[in-house]
Amino acid sequence: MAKSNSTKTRRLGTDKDWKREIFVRPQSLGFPRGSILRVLTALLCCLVVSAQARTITLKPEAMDAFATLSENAPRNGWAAQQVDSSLYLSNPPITSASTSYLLRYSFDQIPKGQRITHAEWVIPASGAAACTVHVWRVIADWGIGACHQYRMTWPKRLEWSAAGARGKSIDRATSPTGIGKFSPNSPQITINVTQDVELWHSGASPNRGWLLTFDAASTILVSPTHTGRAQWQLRITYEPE
Amino acid sequence: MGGYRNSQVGLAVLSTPVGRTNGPAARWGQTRPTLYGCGAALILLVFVGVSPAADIRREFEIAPTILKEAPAYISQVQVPDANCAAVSPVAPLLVVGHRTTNNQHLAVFRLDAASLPAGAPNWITLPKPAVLATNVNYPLGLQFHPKLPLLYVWQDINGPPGDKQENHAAFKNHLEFDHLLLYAVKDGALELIQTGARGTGFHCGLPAGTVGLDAEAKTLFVPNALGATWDEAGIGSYELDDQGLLVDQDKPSTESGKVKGLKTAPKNRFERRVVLLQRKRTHRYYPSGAGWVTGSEAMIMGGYSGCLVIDFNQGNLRQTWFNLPDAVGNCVIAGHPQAPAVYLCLQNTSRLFQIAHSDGFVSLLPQAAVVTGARLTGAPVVLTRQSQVGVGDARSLHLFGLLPDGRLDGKVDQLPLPAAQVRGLAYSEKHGRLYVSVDKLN
Repeated sequence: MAKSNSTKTRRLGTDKDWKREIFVRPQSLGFPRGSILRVLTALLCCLVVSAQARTITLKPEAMDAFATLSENAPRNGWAAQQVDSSLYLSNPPITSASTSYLLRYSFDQIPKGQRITHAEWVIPASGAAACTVHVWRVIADWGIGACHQYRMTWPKRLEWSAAGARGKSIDRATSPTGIGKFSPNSPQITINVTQDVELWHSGASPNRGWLLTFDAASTILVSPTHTGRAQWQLRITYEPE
Repeated sequence: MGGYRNSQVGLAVLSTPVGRTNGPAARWGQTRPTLYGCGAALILLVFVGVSPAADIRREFEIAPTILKEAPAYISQVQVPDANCAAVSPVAPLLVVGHRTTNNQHLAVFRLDAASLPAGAPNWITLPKPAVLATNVNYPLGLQFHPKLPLLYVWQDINGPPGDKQENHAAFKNHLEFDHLLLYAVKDGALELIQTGARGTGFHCGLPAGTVGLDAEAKTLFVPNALGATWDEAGIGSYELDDQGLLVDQDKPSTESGKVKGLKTAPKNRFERRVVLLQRKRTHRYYPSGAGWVTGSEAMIMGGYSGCLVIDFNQGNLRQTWFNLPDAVGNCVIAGHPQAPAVYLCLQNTSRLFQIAHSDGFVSLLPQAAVVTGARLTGAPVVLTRQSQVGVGDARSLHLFGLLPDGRLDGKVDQLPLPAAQVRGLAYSEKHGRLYVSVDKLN
């Protein structure tokens, strides 16, 4: 400790260039000498804080794309709730073996130079019945016009390799990222999506979001776009690389 | 895949002063940079992150830039209290509708070679039954046929409360009122040639509703039909013949030849048809048909808290209601003629939404713009050559900038105008000119 202090004293008293950098220039801007310590403290705090892992929760406000893929309404990207053969509503989304959902989040809030250590996605339902959910990482690009038949229609009209983004290894990943099960006693599921988020954040794979597919009908999902949407949570923990 | 920047992040960065201020009221630009400030900026950059400026925020609030002079592509015409307007793509005519008690319902302006209104307008009185002579009728919607010199007019009339309509005795006189009027353009003037949409099928006394044509102009969609209950709106559709006239479904379509003969029938110069209406419950409230966007495979209709997508599934009308997130109220819509974009103006609020569509099916998530201090009204109008969308307000017009794909670019200009409510807007794609109705000319 004493050695360190002496080193500091010696350095302060002998290095003229260093003195000019630290003391002369700030003083010319009108800063008192005492502020140097506070500046250093602030920068130190900054470094210390940035060295720690951090967890953020992305809510649906961070979602930048959403589409419904409905086999019964193959062109309609918002046929989320089928009332009868002639009427669909956009809200709330209802599970069905013939209906799936595409969702994509923006990861703008995660700074560069960070490594994803954990990510989990909470998918909420209301009035849940027994229903298994598969979460798939989407591979194919999709955009305006996304529906059961097309993955986009603008600026080019492109179909899925298999309608409903069912083409494994082409439209979506070969195997699901995770599987969860709704039940009357478990109206929300949590899927570990660490690997997907890390793939996207690192740039190893473009972020095309997830596809949700279901094995049964009649579970009402909490809408990711309307009232109650805050229940959708994507919790991501990251730390400096 | 096109995406949006997270708006909250962007706004946080933009609204956070960096540096030591000279007092609580110090503003951005009046601050003195300090190392503390630089440290704060560093922290923001590290922990919040900044996206490329080229990204578009999906939700944003913006203060408009006030224009001191009207752009050269805007022409003002004087029609007080205007609430609708249309310019013909095939004839040099501009028509403006307004609500009035003097029976001058439509102002018909001839356009000169430079597409400017030439002289004072001719006025058209919309017809109503003699038994309703004391009731005020008024135009709500105007739609020119895209290829024929034909104008479709939707009008309404003051009526009893909604729960005293349809088969109620108080509504009896209204059953003879024709909401739909077809005018032919002949020698630069409008001539009424056919009427329709009357009887128990329609509500009366509504503040909005207009007609829309499908992509091939073979079907005419009409608003404010009765739904399952007195407060639930429906929509209707009429088949059109190759002359753009209503086809009487009880008779062969060759009936359209009758129109010529009407010229010689002075007591009943127009043909009146009780056309069967294809009516459908919409599960939403009046008014319906607040703007129509035509896609190649579906129609989009403005309505309550969003829009309705209508397509035909094996010959049957199929509906999909799209609800705007976190927004309730009447929406009036318009579509971009070239880009895959629909604009929804949530009436009497500061919010304009843009959502993509694909052949008439709305797609992905809407973009939302909040204009500080605005109270938007009426139907949006797309200015294709200027890459803008115009929306009226009290005593002003807002011009939102557009990107090539139809998305809002985050900029908006505001032009003050001498009109209590700026609602009479029409745009000529052919001439790249926007016509705006004002209460008085400057």
